[in-house]
Amino acid sequence: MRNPLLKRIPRDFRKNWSKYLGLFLILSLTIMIGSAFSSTLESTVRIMNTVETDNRLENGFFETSSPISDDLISQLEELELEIAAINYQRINDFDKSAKLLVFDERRKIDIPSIFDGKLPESPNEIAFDRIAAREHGLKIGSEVNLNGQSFTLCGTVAFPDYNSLFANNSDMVMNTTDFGVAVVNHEGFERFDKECTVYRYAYRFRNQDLSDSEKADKAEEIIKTLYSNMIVPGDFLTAEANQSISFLKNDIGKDGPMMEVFVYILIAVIAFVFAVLTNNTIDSEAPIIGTLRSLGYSKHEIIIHYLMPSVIVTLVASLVGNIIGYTLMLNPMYDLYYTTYSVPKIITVFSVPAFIKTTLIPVIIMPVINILMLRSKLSLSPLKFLRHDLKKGKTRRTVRLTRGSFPTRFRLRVILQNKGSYIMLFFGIIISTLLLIFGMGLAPMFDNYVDSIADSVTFENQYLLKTEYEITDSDAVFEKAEVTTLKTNYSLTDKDIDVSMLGIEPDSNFFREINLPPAENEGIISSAMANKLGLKAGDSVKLTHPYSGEEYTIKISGIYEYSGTIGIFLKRSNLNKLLANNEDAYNCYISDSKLDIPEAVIAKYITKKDMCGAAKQMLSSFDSILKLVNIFSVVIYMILLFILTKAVIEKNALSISYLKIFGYDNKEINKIFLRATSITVIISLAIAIPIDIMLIKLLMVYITAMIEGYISFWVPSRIYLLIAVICICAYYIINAIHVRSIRKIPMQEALKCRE
Amino acid sequence: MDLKCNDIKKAYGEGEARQEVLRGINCEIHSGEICVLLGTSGSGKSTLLNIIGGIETADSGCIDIGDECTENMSEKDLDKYRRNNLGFVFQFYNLIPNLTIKENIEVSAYLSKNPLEINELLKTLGLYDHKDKFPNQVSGGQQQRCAIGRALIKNPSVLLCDEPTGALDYKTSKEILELIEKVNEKYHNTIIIVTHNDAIKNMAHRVLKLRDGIIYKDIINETRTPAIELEW
Repeated sequence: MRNPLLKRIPRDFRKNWSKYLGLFLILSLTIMIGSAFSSTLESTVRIMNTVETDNRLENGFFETSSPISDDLISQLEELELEIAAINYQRINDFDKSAKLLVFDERRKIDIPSIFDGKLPESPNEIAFDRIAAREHGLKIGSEVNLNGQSFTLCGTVAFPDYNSLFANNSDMVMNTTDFGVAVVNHEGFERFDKECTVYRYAYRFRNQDLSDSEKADKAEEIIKTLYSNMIVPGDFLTAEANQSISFLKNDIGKDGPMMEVFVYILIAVIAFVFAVLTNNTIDSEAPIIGTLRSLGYSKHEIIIHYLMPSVIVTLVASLVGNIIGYTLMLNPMYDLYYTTYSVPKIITVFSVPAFIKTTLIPVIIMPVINILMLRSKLSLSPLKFLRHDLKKGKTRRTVRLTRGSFPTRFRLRVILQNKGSYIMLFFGIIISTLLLIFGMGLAPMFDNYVDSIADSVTFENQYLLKTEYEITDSDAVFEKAEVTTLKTNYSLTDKDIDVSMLGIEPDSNFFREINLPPAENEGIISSAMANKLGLKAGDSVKLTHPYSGEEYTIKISGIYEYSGTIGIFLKRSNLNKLLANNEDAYNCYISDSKLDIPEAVIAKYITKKDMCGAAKQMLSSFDSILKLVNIFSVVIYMILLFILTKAVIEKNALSISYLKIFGYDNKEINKIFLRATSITVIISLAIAIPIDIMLIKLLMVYITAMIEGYISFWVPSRIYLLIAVICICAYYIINAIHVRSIRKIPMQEALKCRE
Repeated sequence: MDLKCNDIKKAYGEGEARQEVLRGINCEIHSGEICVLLGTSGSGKSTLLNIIGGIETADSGCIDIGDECTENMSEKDLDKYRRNNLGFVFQFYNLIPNLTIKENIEVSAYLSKNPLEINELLKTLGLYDHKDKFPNQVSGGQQQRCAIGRALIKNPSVLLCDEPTGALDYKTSKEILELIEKVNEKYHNTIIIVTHNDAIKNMAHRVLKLRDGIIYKDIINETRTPAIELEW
């Protein structure tokens, strides 16, 4: 015989459809996003792994001012590695102002994957990186003119060594609008001016199973070999240190756990909401439970019975969430990666670990939390249930309410009696407002970051030079500087990060407020560095040369308000002494307007606009996901609010019915029961927002740990106000629904079911 | 199956607040008897019924039903004991509101390996025509009939009724008592009824009168009055 109690479940679903539908929606949305995201991550990781092997991703590269000899190539190959020239031409004015690197044909290392069309076969064909083509409105067949040479776009591709389009490795953010890469065949490359060719050599270890330290040792041997052949590499980057290669891998590595934690927190909140609702049901059905226990039903059977709705809803939600996650949601999720990263076509894989993380674990979290609550609640004797005496241990003292008018005391009593529902509501408000602050606050936070760069960076142009070049005649205000990049350990991630060493003039026109210390081992750090590394004046910072491994210790004598870089300011002469250079050496010009410097001398040219534009571009790639976050958080907030406040009204249906009999009108009843909820919502919002700010500040430490620079947490008060207004408006919509349901509670309720 | 209470003692509270509710109850109720536990409020009759029913434990002493003894029974054993031997009827019907009359009875049938035939029982209870109605669609008397049916369907050896007519009017109360009498005749269960209604004692085979936690009178009714003739 089938347990007749099972018949209650579909009837319960029908009766309380709005409550279960709400929970189902949050659960399926959460699981849908979780599974789509995890599967996208898995699929992307797999495609990236395929790129590593099939497209023969480099282990690093170096650049030289002229081609290296065959003899040197042979020497390098003796280090158990393959070496291939991946030379390029730098186009600085592509599509007016964008930088474009046009690579020579690649056959051995870093072979591009075709996204659409084909690789260049004739000298007048060119294949663009997919994102670069998109950003500049290029389609197959489009004509492009590069340094006077005309090419036809024959395909869009993904470069293994440019999955993230960082114009410079030291850039904080990618720049897909103003930077791109393309490839032509060898004959096509020959059409460019040889004088402007940048000679880049990519290397790939024969043994791809080397450990990180073995890879580092090999890189050191390569540098030594280059030096011993009198070759000073203009740039040397291992794949691990190359943001264009490693950023995506690191980003994926961090996105995954963040999404999982987000899914688990939401599932736990929903599980607690279920627990509160089941708790209310048990309270109202106590005599029935007592009777069932008296008839011989075991505690275990009763637990299973009350557990079933939550388990059924979770199972159906996980099924629906997975189906939608793997069908409708996949393309929008892929687009998140396609918009930002230059990855080859992602092939969907059903990932067992992703399924375990986003479906199986939530399906386990739900019953575990509910079983714990049910076990505790149902541990009372059958007699206690029959007597409706569900307090554990000694009877708790009733809170005495002596102050205030009767409605005020009544309202307080409602809050105290429903504290379980209200506590869950508070947590729900914390989570939804946290998401809202994040979704709505990120744009102003980036704007503030851009503004702070604009305010603190007082020069318009920065020219990094390959060799010293004296400017004799210019109307511009300019200064010489020595700039180099050292490394320091970032304890939070236990990884080395770049620190720009900025050797400037003691009486600089561009850094007027800075008071540089006289000692050569003392410097002023940028506020970005102070905030990111938690440093203050008087501290010392240890730095390492990335190639030679030489160590330096700089004592911090002050902090300078500068958001543009993680950097240390020293007197140019002191920095040169520290690096054992000629005291007057320089490798950089900073100026208020453009300088007349030959192209061949410039290693890098950065404008203030570039620095600000990159941050803006980063924000635009987040735009669609932030809108989704906002909608999702409002939906969660409204559903939780509806379910939990509905539970309060249902629990008090009898009292409401009594009040109606006593002569209270609907308005007066609303004042007691709904105002209690209004007070709770407003207080919860007032407490939740400062808690959220603290949480986001903590989160920001981890978020900024993932990027090269530092973005300080700053959200204008109008955003908090807007969030509060949205939450209160959403509450009043829910409130209006409850006003109707209170009106519907019949007076007979009190007279009929009195046991 | 005979039922025996062996020196049952029960007290509530501690120290000065300690109150002895049962102070050594010894009695034997024979199989198939209707036994009425009579006493004023606080005499300990409901506590004794609950201990017999295994929903409350005695401080000392035990209940013997056939070969089973409740002493030192675990929670699981008590579940089994109630499942196999007992049926409960309470003053309030405690029916499951979203199950029909028939389904409410089936809830209990599910626990039994050898339940009674449900449609026949529904006819005996006078509920056959109402079997597909929900509890809020029938009268209080019909709800109590359903509660009796729920207790009986398992065909328990002992039926425990705690103030079964306490919430009913005179006419309906008599109908319920008649039903209990009919059930006893038909199924031969031992029925223990807790009541403060003195008139009900007349329909019983045995009357146990309690006062201050002890049985001060154990009466065997030589001549029983049919329930239909009871007056109060």
